Amino acid sequence: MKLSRKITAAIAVAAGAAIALSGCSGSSGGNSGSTTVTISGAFTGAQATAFQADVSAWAKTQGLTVKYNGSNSFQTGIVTQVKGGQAPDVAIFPQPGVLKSLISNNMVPLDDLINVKSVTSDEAQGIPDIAKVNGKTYGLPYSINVKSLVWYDPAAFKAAGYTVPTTDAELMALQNKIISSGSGYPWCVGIASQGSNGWPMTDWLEEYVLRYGGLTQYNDWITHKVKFDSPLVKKAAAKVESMIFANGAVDGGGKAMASTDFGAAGNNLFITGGKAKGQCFMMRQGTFITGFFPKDIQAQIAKNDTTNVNAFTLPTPSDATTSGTLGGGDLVAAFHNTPAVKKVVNYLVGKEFGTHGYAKQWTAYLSAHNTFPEAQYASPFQKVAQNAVKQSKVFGFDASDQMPGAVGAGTEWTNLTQWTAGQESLDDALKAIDASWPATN
Amino acid sequence: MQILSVFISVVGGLAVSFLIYLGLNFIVSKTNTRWNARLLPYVFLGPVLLLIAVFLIVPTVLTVYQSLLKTDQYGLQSFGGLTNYVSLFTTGSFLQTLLNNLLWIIVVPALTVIVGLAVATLADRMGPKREKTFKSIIFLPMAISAIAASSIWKFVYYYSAPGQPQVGLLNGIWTGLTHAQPVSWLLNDTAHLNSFLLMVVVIWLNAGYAMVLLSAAIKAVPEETIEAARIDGANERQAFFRVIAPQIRTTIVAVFITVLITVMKLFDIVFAMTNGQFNTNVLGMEFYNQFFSFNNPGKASAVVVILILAVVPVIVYQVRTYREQEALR
Repeated sequence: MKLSRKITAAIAVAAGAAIALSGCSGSSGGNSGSTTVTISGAFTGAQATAFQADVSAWAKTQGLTVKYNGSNSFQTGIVTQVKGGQAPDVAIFPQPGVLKSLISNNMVPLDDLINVKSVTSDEAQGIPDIAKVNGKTYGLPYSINVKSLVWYDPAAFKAAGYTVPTTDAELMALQNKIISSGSGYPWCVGIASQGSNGWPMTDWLEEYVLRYGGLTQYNDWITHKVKFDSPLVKKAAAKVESMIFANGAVDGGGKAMASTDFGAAGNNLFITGGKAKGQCFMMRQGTFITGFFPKDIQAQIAKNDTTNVNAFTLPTPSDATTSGTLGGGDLVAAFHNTPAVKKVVNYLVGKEFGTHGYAKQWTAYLSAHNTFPEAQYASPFQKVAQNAVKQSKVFGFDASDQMPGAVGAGTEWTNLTQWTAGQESLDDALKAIDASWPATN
Repeated sequence: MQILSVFISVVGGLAVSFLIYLGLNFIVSKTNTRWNARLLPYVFLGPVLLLIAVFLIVPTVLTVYQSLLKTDQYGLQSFGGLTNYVSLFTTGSFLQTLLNNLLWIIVVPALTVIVGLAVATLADRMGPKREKTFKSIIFLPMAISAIAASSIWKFVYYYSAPGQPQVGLLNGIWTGLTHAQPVSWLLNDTAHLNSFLLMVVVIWLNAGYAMVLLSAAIKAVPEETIEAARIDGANERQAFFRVIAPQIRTTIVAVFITVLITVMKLFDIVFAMTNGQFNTNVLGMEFYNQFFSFNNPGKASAVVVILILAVVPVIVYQVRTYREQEALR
């Protein structure tokens, strides 16, 4: 093959120029003096829009640009990104487990960016320690959610002559009354969830481990100093069994619970027709469940109408150690230490966050700060949830989210589901979870 | 701006590759003819071999290395030798996973071939018009993604509480016919029932593919051979098993192995339908769990290495059959 020298040279020059050009346009420049801060998180859609709007409104006053990037596959994406050296400035983790696993990858301790002690001074006991490792705080919630709520239909309660229980004894009495009267089932429970079957059952267990054991034992449970096969966890499990595993407590019993999607389980709160239709009266679930309720109920929620839907705090048994609130939260962590990131993190985890419209627009939002102005909340449920946190002494962050993945997102889901479905005894399930605990080295 | 830069990158990249070939070709052409003939193949194959090395061999080696690392609770890795393998092979659930995978790779390719063959043979007997319609229906699921198929079949297997209207098709039929309690199909691992129900989905998805290839092979069987057999007194069954089947053997093997490899990589259907619970776990799902849910890349890599080792004999066999086939031509 022969080509004239001239043509070859011309091609070479063109190619060289092309590479130089594309190289230039491809690189993104340094970050240190930048006023743009990127945030990655797991929430998308309307929530992401509301979040972006709030942060943008605030950032404008600071001369900053904040870009939020939400992804449904955040949990898997962020690991790849961070390990590949493509970390965003700030990431918002729905689970401390993934956050903690990335600490060694250039994560900046929040102590370097903010005054942790003063920022968290008005937060419930337990919240500041969620992402504390070796004395350093790596993550603080910008928003929390409360799981210790029982949802009910006030109209259905009224029609059947039931009143909202305020103590555990009253709750159990109500449950027995519902069962014996045959007017329906006391509980709606579904623990299936596409790709993560079983997590709702871990919440049930956590509610009572936290209350019977108190925060210290609860945290010891997370680090496996307290075993699953321990009197505390067994006591909590027995309490759960006495409630939702009781005869006639849930339509279809354990098998139905294991096959029903947690989101769909609540639909039967809002029907009539009693037992024959599968009507149920109470559902213990987090604040986010409102998004899964039927369309007409959601329309009522949007209008802050509580005729057909409301919530009360799950009562604490009289022999418990403490009254606690179980919940979760979205934890802010930083991967770069620049003045702009500092400002953004300060805003996100401070009590001012949400006042630029987020608390009003996203009615599932709940500030971690007890002194967050109640007037900023638009929905009655936000106030119910804030009250639950204020009144309880401690806040327990979802334990399964903090355990090693192989347990918290693995055997605990699997074995508790098997236990629920009646395929495994409680003792076997708890022993199997203990056995799966990864060796600490 | 971005479009322009992409355009320049593409054109530039092509130009550079062209130049590299041109340059190497130029250098080789300066050598004497004997060396020219020796070097030239490598000049043109070289870059491809390099790409294979970079994107296939290096990652494989890295995966094997990664599988020897253990992860502590904070995600820090250190050398752990065979710890991951030992821990995998000493947990009952992983052995169950292996057993499940074994079931999958035996049952699914075999049934897919049988179903495909049956449909192809039967369709062959229909008139051309009916054959087309019939085949289109069988082929239709091929166009559905695995996740969508899982959603469809999840409804088929859906379980509602006893006494409530059974929304799930299978339970609707079951309770309607037997008046018994509804069965929670996907929870029921008696004799691996739920695993078999998941397999149905994969067979449903792949039967069309098998049918198309096998049908083409059957049509390519020379009519004279079948006629000759009939004249010699062979009945339908004998004509099929003794004349047609041997002549389409290579196609059967090809379909079998393609489906087998699909099954070994299986993840999405199990993920969407049972999440690997109730004893339906497979290797692909286990890899996902270890890597993404449990944040243990070392163990995940070990699962992958086991998978690679399991696939190797299949590929060797396939290459060998392919060679035999080529040699016949």
